Amino acid sequence: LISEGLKRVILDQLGLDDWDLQPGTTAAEVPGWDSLSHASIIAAVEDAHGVRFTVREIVGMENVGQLQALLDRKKG
Amino acid sequence: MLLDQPVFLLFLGFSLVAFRLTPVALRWRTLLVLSLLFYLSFSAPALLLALIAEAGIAWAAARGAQRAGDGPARVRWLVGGAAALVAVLVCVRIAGSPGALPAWWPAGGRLATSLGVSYFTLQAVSYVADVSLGRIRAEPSFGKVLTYLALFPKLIQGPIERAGSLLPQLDAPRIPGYEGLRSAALLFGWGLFKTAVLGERLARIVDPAFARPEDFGGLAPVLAAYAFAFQLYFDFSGYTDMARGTARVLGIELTENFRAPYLASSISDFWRRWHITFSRWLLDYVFAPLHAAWRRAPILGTAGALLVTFGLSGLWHGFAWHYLVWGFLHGSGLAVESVARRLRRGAARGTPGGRLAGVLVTFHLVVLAWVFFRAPSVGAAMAVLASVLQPAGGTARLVDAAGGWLPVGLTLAACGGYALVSWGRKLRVFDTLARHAPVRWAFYYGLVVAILLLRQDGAGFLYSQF
Repeated sequence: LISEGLKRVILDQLGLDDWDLQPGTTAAEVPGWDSLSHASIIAAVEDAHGVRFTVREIVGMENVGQLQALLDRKKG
Repeated sequence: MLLDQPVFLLFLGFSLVAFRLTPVALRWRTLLVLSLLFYLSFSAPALLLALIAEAGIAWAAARGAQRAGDGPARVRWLVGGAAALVAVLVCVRIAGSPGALPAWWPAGGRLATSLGVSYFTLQAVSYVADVSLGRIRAEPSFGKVLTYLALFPKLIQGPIERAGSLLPQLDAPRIPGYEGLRSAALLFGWGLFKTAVLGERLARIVDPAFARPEDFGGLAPVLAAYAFAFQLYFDFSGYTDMARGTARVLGIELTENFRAPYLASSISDFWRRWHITFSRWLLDYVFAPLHAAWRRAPILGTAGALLVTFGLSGLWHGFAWHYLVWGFLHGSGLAVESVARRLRRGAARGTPGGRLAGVLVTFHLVVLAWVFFRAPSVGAAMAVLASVLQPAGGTARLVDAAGGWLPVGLTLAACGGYALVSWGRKLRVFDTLARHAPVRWAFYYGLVVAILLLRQDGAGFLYSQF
């Protein structure tokens, strides 16, 4: 499942009050989450959780579930 | 052998027979042989070697990346493979640009054309990248990778297909039934009408104004710039329709490349509608990694990534300043839009009037950039733009240069017919009309007669030179 913390950071960046973010949700399904906003969402997630992703990890992410799994792995 | 030449229809008929006689599981091999024969028809065997070399590099790099697991070796396979592929492209493009080579350059190292190489290189890079990023599995068969790159309907000027979409279709391609063949033939015929009738006739208006800008002034260069915007659209989207129709006959679905681009309400919207497979390629393999790497500088990072991406897009069309300026104009427009979007975040959605204004402004910015794309140099583009300020009166001369009022009137009428049919398709008028066989067949015969009567022989497809 997607943690409340991750969900809040993403929605804040997109200016959305609420959205049903599931592990299989892709960026294209969320209003405003496109190639231009993707990098700033990732940067905000990094800042909020004190982690750093590599370029390959960022480019290779295909859905919110992969972002959550990567975040969990980084935080140990 | 280009798709609009009568000999191509013979080749397609021969292909269908060969395809039909091959067991379904082996048809990709028939497609491979046909594609290699098609490429050989351009009498440039060096290009065939470049194609096979790129397929070999892509096949080996993808397998290497997959074997490397999650470690840094995977990135090395990606970077090494992509660099080798781009090196092949650069060498072929240099050898295929006679004007760029010094006089002492040996004749054996010169190529008459670099047809198709830019397109299959982008597809080869995307294949290696997709495997390296874990999006798809590496294809064990070298022959299938070669078929993916070489598939003849899209070999010369795209669409730029992804391996994830095309490779699975090679497993068991089937000739479609009546309905599939009918839609394929219609797509092919509609595409031929766009390129051979509309595109080539518009060229008659465009070419004189860009060849001798000093002869025209006032409205004439403006008309020529508009005409070029539509010439390029009809020529390129027409080719894509023909390529998609051809592939459909052989049981392969290619990606749509255009979606009413001149109705875009912003530059970013334009790139979601124009040469879609190319802009997605740029977005996924150039912009995304750059933007991710520069994410700590939100505004400058985005602007920088856009400028570099579209600068490279310009250079992909040719190593010339005017293409670079064209790319930078689009990159700058997108950068301005991204900043405006940040400032506007959370603001109310646009009104219909605002959208209309957006469409008009975007269209004119795109036309302005096309002037740099079409002109042979930055100086020539500036001369065309400056000629707008010259005394008016060149319109009649431009019409004369285009062959007189009758051909120009026919061209405009044909463009109007195109707009009407497109509008009717959007409103689904034809879904109703097409149920009546006489109406349907009248349209088919009308299309064939229009092509036979109005077609013009020209310099071939504009985008095949890139």
